[in-house]
Amino acid sequence: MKLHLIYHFQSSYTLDEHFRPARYKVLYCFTDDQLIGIDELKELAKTVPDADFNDVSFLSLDELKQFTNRVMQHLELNTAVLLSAQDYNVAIDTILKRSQFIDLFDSYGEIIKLDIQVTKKKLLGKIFT
Amino acid sequence: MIVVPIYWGYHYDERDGWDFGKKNSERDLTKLIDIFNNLSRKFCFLVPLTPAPFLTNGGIPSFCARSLSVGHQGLSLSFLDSEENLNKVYTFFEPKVLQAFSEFCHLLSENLKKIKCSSPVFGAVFTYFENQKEISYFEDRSMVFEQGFSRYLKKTYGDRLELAVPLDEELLKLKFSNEIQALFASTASDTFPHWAGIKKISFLAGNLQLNIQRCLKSGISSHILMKDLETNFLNRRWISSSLLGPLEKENLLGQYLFDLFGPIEIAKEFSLNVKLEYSQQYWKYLELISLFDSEKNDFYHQGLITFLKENYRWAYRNYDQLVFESDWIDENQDKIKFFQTKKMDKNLFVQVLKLFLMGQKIIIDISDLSPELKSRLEVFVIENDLQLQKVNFCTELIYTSLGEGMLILYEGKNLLLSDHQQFWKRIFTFIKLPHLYLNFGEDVFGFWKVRTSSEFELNYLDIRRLHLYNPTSYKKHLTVDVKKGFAFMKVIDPHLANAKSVSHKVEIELSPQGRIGLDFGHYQDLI
Repeated sequence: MKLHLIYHFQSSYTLDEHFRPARYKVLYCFTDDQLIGIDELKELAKTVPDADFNDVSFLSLDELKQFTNRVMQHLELNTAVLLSAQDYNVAIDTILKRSQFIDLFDSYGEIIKLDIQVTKKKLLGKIFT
Repeated sequence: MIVVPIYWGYHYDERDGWDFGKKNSERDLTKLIDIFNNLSRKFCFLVPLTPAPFLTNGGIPSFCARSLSVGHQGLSLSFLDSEENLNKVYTFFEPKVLQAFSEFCHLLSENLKKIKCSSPVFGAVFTYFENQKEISYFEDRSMVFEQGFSRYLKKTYGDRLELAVPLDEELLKLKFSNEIQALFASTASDTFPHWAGIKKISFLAGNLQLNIQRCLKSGISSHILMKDLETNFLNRRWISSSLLGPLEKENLLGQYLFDLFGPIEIAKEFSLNVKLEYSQQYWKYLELISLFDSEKNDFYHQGLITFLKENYRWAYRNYDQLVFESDWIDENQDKIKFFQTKKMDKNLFVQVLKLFLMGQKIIIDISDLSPELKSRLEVFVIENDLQLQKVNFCTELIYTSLGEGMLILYEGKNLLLSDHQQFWKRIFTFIKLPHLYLNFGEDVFGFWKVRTSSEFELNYLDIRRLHLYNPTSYKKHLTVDVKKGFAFMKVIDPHLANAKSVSHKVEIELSPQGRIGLDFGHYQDLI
């Protein structure tokens, strides 16, 4: 079982004199089995510094990966596949059936393994607090 | 009565060009029409004016399918159909598409004329709901769209245009998109002599999120599909379940669809001259409250939708626009009508005031009333010698009446979040709109229907039927509070369910996948 995440890079813009920097916004996040609800994602995004948790968006790819790691820990999964909207658009054009959908992530996405360091630190933290 | 959606892309292939049955008998619409006529069946055609998610390439001919359509989130649109094929939706902003569509409409119209077919032809705008917002499959942000938009800007504004904020650009994109959509619509309406107008048809599970859920192992639960169906119903949409597979449609969802959209409702909507009499046999939707809010969010932000969900669940519906025609006015005379004035023009405002003069109950949020409409309102008050009562309760309220008519004006923008519930409670206590209170959560679904009382039921003003469905895997214990003015009559068609009447209540037990109907007599109108 893997975690699958589709994200979209949003360019920076200024609205009402308020500058909003470019961000990586999570569009959909799901396991092989089911979609993860937006409220659950918002809660998990709160643990990532500088995340806009209402929007589930991040300032850098590193932060997006931190978030992915956090979701993997939460769901007790070891592997995640990140797919950008652009790559999704290329990938989706190559499949014809429902059964091929999950596989396109392995073919076109970036595979991320659970960062054990972070998990260990958390475990140690629990032991010593 | 049969509704025939036209798969126009299927009438073209690279070898044969356009074909209506001469080269491939499966494209022979004349033969299909003969079959309908031989069986004396009424029918109408639906010509798609947008991509159709249930068809290969979104319904367009393969030579036009060059660039995938991209939704507002930046993802290409593709949808699982009922056979688990993933249909890609291609952009309608490719200039070839309009050209091919025009050729197709012309040829189809010639074919229909030849055989003197006078059945109505509707244009279909296919849509889906996402987070309570309706989105057309025509909406596109692909590279082809962006290129077309650049050409449009250059042609319309030359080099004069400077876009200050992203919002300006979005508004212009919307304008461009609407203009191209209008070109498709006018191409069809100008070509077909029996053009009957445009129908918006919304697809169940038609958004990307639900599509992804359908692609996953666990699939989509009937609870989510019923929620989607409920949203469509409350927004008065005609619904297509054609994306769903047989397993997704079986059991409770299928029954819910069947109960909600019977042959009479469909015939009525498509105006196929089916004689409809408001007789004992005819149940129509019970709609006590009609909401007119083009933006579809102001009433939500003012807490009205939450209040209605709690107190008048399934007895209110949203309208896109007011149909100011005598039949509609008569049929909807008794409904309480709520209006937002944002984007309201003078014509609509005058029509709303006329409804009040006709004895209807009208409630208007005047927060966004333009100065022009404000003066029109002042003149209206003087002309009709109306006595205004001004009250300050949570916000500024103005009340007046004339005969049966009631007019309440309120400043919705000044309503505080903490005041929402008490404000609406007071308003509805004042207007006295009798109904039964449903005491259960949002994971049980249903709807109301109503009919006039028969000669054997003269004690009642009308009979209200509540249909309930439990798509969850838990047994549900529900109660309906039977208020003064109502009497529980009988249980209809229970399946994995039972109900019993106790003092001033009906207690219902709905097992997983259970359903039940309950009839209530309404015997005393408190208004």
